[in-house]
Parts: sequence; structure tokens; C-alpha cells
Amino acid sequence: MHMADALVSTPIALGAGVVATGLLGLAGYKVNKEKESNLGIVSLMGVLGAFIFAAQMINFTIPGTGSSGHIIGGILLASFLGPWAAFLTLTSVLIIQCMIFADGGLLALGCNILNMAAMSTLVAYPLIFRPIVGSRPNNVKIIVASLAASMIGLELGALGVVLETYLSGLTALPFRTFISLMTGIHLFIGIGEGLATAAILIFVVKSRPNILYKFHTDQSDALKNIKNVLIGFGIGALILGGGIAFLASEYPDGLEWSIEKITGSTELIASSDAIAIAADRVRTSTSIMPDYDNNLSGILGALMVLIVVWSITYLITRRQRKNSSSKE
Amino acid sequence: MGKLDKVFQTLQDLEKHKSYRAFPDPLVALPITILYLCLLLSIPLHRVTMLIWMGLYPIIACACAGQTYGKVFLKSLIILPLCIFIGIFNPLYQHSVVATIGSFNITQGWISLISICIRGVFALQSVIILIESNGFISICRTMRRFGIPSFITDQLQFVYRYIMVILKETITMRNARMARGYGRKKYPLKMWSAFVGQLFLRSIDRSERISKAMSARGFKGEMIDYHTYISNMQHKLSFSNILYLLTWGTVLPLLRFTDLSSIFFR
Repeated sequence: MHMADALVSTPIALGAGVVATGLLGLAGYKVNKEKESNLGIVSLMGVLGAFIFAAQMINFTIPGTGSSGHIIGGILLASFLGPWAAFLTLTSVLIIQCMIFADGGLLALGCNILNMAAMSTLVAYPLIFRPIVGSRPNNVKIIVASLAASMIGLELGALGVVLETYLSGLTALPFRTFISLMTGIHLFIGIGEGLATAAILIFVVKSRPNILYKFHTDQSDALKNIKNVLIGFGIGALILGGGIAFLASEYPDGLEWSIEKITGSTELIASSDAIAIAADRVRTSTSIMPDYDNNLSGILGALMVLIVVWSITYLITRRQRKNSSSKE
Repeated sequence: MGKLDKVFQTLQDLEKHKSYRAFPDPLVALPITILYLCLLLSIPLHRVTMLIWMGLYPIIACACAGQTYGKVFLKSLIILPLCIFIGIFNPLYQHSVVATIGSFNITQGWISLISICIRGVFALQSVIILIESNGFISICRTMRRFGIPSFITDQLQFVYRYIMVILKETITMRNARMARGYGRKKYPLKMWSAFVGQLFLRSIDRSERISKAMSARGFKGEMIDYHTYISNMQHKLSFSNILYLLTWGTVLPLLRFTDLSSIFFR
């Protein structure tokens, strides 16, 4: 579900980044508060972040299909660390995956944090997992809660991907087709994630019964958390909605706006010179993409420049590399 | 080579290749990369030539950082399947013909698919160049210098440092399981949960040991090495770094807002 930079436009990426930053700030405040009473949370978050990363590399066999899947870990982390610390931990895993393993884009990081970390740890965990598991967890409760929370968390994430890609204007798929395609795929992934989460939780709870996060806080804290989450999302939605409405509006972009201010139109007025008109006619007739502001010579020219620049830089750096290797 | 070994190798390679005196300085490279991404992703899909011109940045940045562009290019192709997955439906829905080559019609859908692929590849190249020339820890420190709170940068450094440790442990567990598994490579859910659950419990134990060791060394909730690093790093940017920043700060908006093809190759 990692979104690449290519799948979002700048306004959507920045809008999502603003909301994700707000949530991260809130998470930082909560975790810093917890640090005062429990300093061990720092190392626990660090090591569990690394654990989730490693656990994602081990695939389990999906019964009856012959294929395999791996855990994503949002609900699992939240059930041991609590929602805010889990959100921060999962965010750090997403940043490392993006920067080192090219899973997801740098500018699309805000989108990925909202879709993958926030939906599972700040929405699905407090609103679905905890109420179902309650204060006396048993195997049935854990399985039902894990399945429901994982499926809903992933479906919400998939919905986020659809909305962000659609609002970025990058897909021509009709909204309904796109959403049914994405939610359909993620329903099955959600079932797999739920089963895997439940299997680990049952194993761990059997080995160390008092390890789940909810034993550390009472129910009133949980309700307060939900309230804060809802307030945070409300503010985020307002910022995002306002930002998108402003940035993705029908009005011209910055350059077009400047041209409109100068000329009164977003299109530059063509010269009335006879030679210019003739040249323009020739250009239009030979252009392979007249309406697209692209022509074959333009594309080929740009590509040629890239190749020439690449060749020059290759020759320069080859000499440097040779020099440095001979020194070694 | 399994997935685990590949990831372990990638992390080791990254540590091996990073340069401690990277050019450009991460303080310059990070904002320029973000500017590049903002400008690249703001280009409308139908402006293919503008997108191609944006390819100048990764090529030149690669040379400045002393990296081979060919390798970066090949690495960036990993993003193509995802781009194609999202863009492949566009030719089915956007039928309007925007160009004709001989008897072959190029539709709006194909142009947008190609544009999505170009955006994806160039965006990924810029991030690869940033990380490979500076290393992850150095980028974390730069983020701290830009005012990003320590709870994020500390956490990132913590996870990054322990990924190698936990991965090593996972590889050991996997090898042990393979040695006793009579050639079985698959993990049924029950066996998988025992394996990952065991890894989880070991991780919890490890975090408790780390926490005790950190407390014994005076840890108060924030990593001290940042402060010493920041005070040691009050250096001024070199002239070449300032020049790099100014040049790209000017050239990138120029590439974004001017269609150079219409000027040079009309």
C-alpha cells in the first residue's frame, strides 16, 4: 500500500504532510509524557520498530492459495505500545522503508503515514480492537478483534490511497471502479493481517499474560485518547479539505496566474506577424502533439540533452573514480 | 539469496559506501531534494517534455556526489511496476488522440501512463542519491538541525541501529529452523506465529536490557550525542555547497516553469 511520489500531486502530498505532522506532534507530546514515568518506552519503541521491520521479511503460507503474505504490524504494535507510541514507531519504520528501501515516496510520506500508520494505530486500534478485547482477553476475543481491526484499518488505508490518487488527478479510472478494486484487494489482505496478528498475540499472551498495553492504562484514558484522535482528525480534515480546495481549485496555477495578470488571459496572445503565423502553421502541422504542448523534436531534444549531460558526467566521474581507486 | 539476506546486504552496503565528507553537505542536499520533488510532482501529466528536462537534476547531482548514474537508474526502475499498476487503466479510459506517428495514434491515456512512470523514476532517483551520498544517520542529524523534534530523530536512529541487530537474530533463527526442518521452506501460520512470537519476546527482552544499560549511563529521555554533534557542527557551509544550493535553487524552478524544448528545439 506504500504510495510512491509518482502517485500524488504536490498539493495533496503537502496537505497530507501537514496533517501527518500535526498527528506526529501530538504523538510526541503523548510519548514524552509517558517517558516521565516509563523511560523504557524509548528503547522498547526502537527495538519493536526494528522487530516489525524484520517480521515483515518472514512470509507465512496462506492456506489453500499457495501464495504467501507478511504482517504489516499496526494493530500488533498498538496492542503492546499503545496507540500513540505505536503510531510514532510505525512512522519511523515507514520513513526508513522510504529512504533506504524505496518503499513509498519521500514527498508522499505524509499520505503513507496517514494511510498505513494512523488508520491502524489511531483509528482501528482504539475504536475497534480495544473495545472488543476488553479487560479480560481470551483467544476468541483476540481473533475477532484482530480480524475486525485489521480489516477496517486496511480498508480505511485503501480508501485513503484512492482519495489521494484520485484528487491528484493521476488515474482515469472512474471513482467507483477504483474504490471497489482497491477495497476488494485489501479486504483479503486485511483477513490475512488479522489472522497473523491474532496468531502472534495468542502466542505472546500465552507466554506472558500481562504484556498487552491495555493493562497499563485504565478505560478512561482510552476514552480520552479516542476523543483526542477524533479532534485531531477533525482538525486534519479541515486543514486538508481547505488546503485541497485552495490548491486544487479551478483557478490557474502560479505561472498562469502571473500571465493572466499581465495579459488578461491564461494563454499568451499569438503574434500577428505574417512570418510568425506561417511558422506557427508549420509547427502545428508537423507537431505530433499539438494540443499537448509537446512535439517530437522537443521530446527528442530533451532526451538528447540528458544523454549528452550523462555522458559528460560519466567521463568526469570515471576519471575521479579511477584516481580514488588507484590511491586506495 | 532470501529477502532477509538481501535487506541485510543493502544495509551493510549503505554503511560501507557512505562518505563522511559528502558533497553536497546534507544541509544543502536535503532541502534541494525536497524542492526538486515538489517541483517535479507539480508538473501536469501532459507536459512530458518538462518532465524529461527535470531528469537533468539526478544526472548532475549523481556526478557531484561521485555516484554512477547507471546504477542509480537501474535501482530506480524498481518503482515501475507500481507506476504501471496505477497508470495502466488510463489508456483504457482516456481515448482522445493527442498525437499521431505514421498510422499509430497516441492517446491521452498513454501519455499520462508514460508521465507517471517518468515522475516515479526521477523522484526515486533523487531520494537514492540523497541517501547513498550522505547515509541515513547523517540525514537524521540534519533533520534535527532543521528543528525536527528529537523524539522523531531519536526514534529513527534507534530503529535504524537495531534493524541490523534484529535482522541478524532473525537470520540465525531462520537458519536454525532450516537446519532442523528437513528441507521445508514454507511457514504455515501456526509455525510462523511461534517463530515471529519468539522473535517478539526476544526483542522485548533485548529492549529491557538496553533500557537498563542506558539508564546506567545517565539516559534522561533524549540522546546526548545530538547536542555534542550540533555544537561540533557549527561549521559554515563551504563555498562550493553555497554555490550548489544557489545553482539548483535557481535552475530547478527554471526547469519547472519554462519549457526549454520550445526554446531550443522548436
